[in-house]
Amino acid sequence: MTMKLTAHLTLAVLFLAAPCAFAQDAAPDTTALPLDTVPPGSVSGLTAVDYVDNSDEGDRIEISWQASPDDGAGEGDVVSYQLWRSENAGADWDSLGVAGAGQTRYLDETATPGTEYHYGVAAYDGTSYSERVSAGPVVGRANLFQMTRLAVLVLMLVFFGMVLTFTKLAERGADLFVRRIPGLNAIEEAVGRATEMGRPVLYVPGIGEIDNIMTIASLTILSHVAKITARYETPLIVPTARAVVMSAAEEVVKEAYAEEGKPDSYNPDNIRYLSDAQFAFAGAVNGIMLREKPAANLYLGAFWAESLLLAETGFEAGAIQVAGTAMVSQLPFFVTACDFTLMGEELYAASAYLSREPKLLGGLKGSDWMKVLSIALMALGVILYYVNQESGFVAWFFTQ
Amino acid sequence: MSWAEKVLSIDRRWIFLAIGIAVTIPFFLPLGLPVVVTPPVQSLYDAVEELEPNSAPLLLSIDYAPATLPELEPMSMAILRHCFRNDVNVVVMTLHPAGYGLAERALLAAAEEHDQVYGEDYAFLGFQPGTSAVILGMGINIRNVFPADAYGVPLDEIPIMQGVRNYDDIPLVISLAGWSAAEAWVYYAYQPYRQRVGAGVTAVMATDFYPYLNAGQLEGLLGGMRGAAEYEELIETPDQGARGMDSQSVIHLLIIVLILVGNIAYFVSRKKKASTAGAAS
Amino acid sequence: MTFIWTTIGALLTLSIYSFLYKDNPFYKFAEHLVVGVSAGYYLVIYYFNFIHPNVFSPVFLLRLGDEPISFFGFHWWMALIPGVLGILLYTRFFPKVAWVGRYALAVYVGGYAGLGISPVMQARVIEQLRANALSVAGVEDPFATMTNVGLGVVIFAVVAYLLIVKRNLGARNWLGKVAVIVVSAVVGYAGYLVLTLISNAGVVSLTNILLVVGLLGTLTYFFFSMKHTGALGGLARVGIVFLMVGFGASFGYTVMSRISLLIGRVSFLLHDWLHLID
Repeated sequence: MTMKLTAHLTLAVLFLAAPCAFAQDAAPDTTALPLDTVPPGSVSGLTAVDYVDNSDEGDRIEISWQASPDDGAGEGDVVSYQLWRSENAGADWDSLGVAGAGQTRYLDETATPGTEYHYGVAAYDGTSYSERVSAGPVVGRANLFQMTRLAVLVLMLVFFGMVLTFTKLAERGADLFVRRIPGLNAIEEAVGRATEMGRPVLYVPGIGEIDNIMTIASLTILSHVAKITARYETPLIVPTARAVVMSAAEEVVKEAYAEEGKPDSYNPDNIRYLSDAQFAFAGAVNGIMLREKPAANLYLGAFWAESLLLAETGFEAGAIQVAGTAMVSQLPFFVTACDFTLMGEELYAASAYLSREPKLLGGLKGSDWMKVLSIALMALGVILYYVNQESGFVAWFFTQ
Repeated sequence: MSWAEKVLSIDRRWIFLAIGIAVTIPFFLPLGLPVVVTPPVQSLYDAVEELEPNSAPLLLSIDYAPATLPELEPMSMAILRHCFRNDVNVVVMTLHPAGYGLAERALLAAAEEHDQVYGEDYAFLGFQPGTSAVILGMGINIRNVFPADAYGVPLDEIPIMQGVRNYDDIPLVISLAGWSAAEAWVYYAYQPYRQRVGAGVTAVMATDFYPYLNAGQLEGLLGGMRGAAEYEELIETPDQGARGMDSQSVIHLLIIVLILVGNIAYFVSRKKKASTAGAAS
Repeated sequence: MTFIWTTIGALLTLSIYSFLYKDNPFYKFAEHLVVGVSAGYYLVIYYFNFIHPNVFSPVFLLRLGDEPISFFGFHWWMALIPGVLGILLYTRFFPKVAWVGRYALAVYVGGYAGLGISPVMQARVIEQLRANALSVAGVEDPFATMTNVGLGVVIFAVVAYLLIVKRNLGARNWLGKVAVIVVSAVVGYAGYLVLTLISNAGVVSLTNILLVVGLLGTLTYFFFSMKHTGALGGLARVGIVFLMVGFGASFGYTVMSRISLLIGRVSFLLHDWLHLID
């Protein structure tokens, strides 16, 4: 009886234990998927440099490396790169950020300028890290000199050099050739016609302030016109919109009359300050045109929207009109309503031609040769571009 | 007097009256003329359309003054509507003292139309004088120039301004100006920092900006009320710009006719004078 | 309430427009009003946006321990230097000490000139050279249609002119005039088609060629160091043609701009004031 019980018990135990044995066999077969304990290969060629760009304050470091051999090749299991930064030469590392698989550079934008850093990079495959590779020390610095703008500096120096050279040459009395501007002939013709008809010449030096370069050029030409009107005793009316311009005009005209030997012909009442307000000035000048009926109207200087009001009224009154201004937006109106227009730089050229003042001449010649240089550079660029697209000059000059 | 001389001596007040009538009638009898979109406007539209929603903000510099309002306000409304419709964040600022009130007016009107929330969808930085210094300063750090927004809230407390430090974080700047501010953005934002810039200017100045557009310094250009009307056509929300186009077209036609008639009359009368002078001598 | 202000604005607008008929007291009043109001308005704005935060606030408030908004981390006395220079500018009204103001003016002019020279040189010279130099051959030309249409019109005008002047057609009767216009239009259209073919072939960009020719011509026109004879003179004449076309375009744009402002005012009168249109 006990033997039977023992045998039954043994069988029962065996039967009960059997599933456990089978249970063990039903566990996941880890021999097919071993735990990946092999870390990926580490990166190589790790460099960390101060990142230079247009708004560089020295707070950016660029870290670049060559990909781990297991990234996309080899075991192909790299999922990301982990970056660390240390401020004390690798003694302790702070986690900096993560770059994805396949990336080989990272921009640290949180560096403090002037602090020495070391950087470490390791590849990560989901379970373990490669050996950390480090680089450094590197210090972020704000750049003293923006090398990407070197072309601008060179051109500027060339241009200033030319202007200064020509100015010095003019001061020493060298004869710098400036061609005669056709507009000057037109001005003299207009004044001549006014003299024939016995009617006054109206000279409007614009409504700019005395420090406006156009006003200054205009006053130079006023001196020339005043000499002619003094010679032939034609009345000259000069309305101004700025008090300081009026005093300057008075000086200019008085001196011109004195130089022509006719100081008594000078009439200070003809140099008038009318109004600072733009359209009030235009209205007052229109009144002069309608009452005193000048035969020649000269508009030389800085004009704004009142330009067309002046020119049109003068046209209606039948005067011969010559205008000169560098305000590009007003040139169309003057060209339409006046008999002759000095455009833009012609105004400055006319005043340089008449006065032979060294600074004006120097500036004019300098900008003239700058135009030649610009055309030459453009031609050079085109030729080089077609000959060799990788040309260093083309890249340096043209593609910044 | 021959017809030519009669034409040339018309009292200009009749012409003023004709223009006055030509402006007013299309308001009552709309002609519905189509608005054809030109490449400069299309490029600006495409640049704004490419902006990512709820991401880095568009910087809109509303630099106009009341004198140029009819031409430039339709542009700002159109651009703001475009951005809000696409859920693009917008930061508005101004470089003109009178622009403060106008910028606020346009911004709040457009924001209300699209239920945008201040701070999360748009922000208003206000006015700072010094044009070139402001633009250059923003290239280093916006907070150097605008430490707080127009209402005194520090920029770091405004959600859409977090993470926006300087031009590196701004995909596009658009300047709407009737003076040299738009050029200043090209000189001081594009040249040193290569910030992408678009411009909307009055028609008087538009010709000066074509060289910049051609050289790639500008992403796009809106010129005058016509530019605003074209932009409104692209976003399919006709407003003040489109409303004025009928009058604009009628008046342009009138002016062309007047120019042609005037020129023909001028040449005819000159020929007549030459022939009578020849006959007399 | 707003109706009163709108009415005042509308009446002032009409007063200014009354100048078109004749100068009158209403116009004079409105003009003086706008000059005075804008002077006062800008004075207030400039004070509160300019002087107060940049000079007054750092100098006085910071000194008193208050924390105004400061930028670039500067100290209170740094605001005094430009403030004093600004005040010195006013010495120009006193002839005896006017020379002092020249130093302030020099700092101001020099500062802004220095700030501006490099970007302007780049933006207006180098970039433009670059754009024009590299753009002549085979590039996509978004302005091709406009250029071709424009050139077609030019061909039409030239042919019409030649027929009228050289062959004296169309002088005698209306039929002649119509014939001239039709022939010129046909030739112009043919020219336009040919040009379109050329630009679509992508071989060369006509717009950019025109740009380069115009650039060279205009630069030559403004070259003062040599006489304009021979080839140089011819190129200068080409330049002047381009200049005139440019002025014409500028004129047209300006007219459009002025009309737009008129439309804006009429819109204000009809819509905001009289509510005659929606």
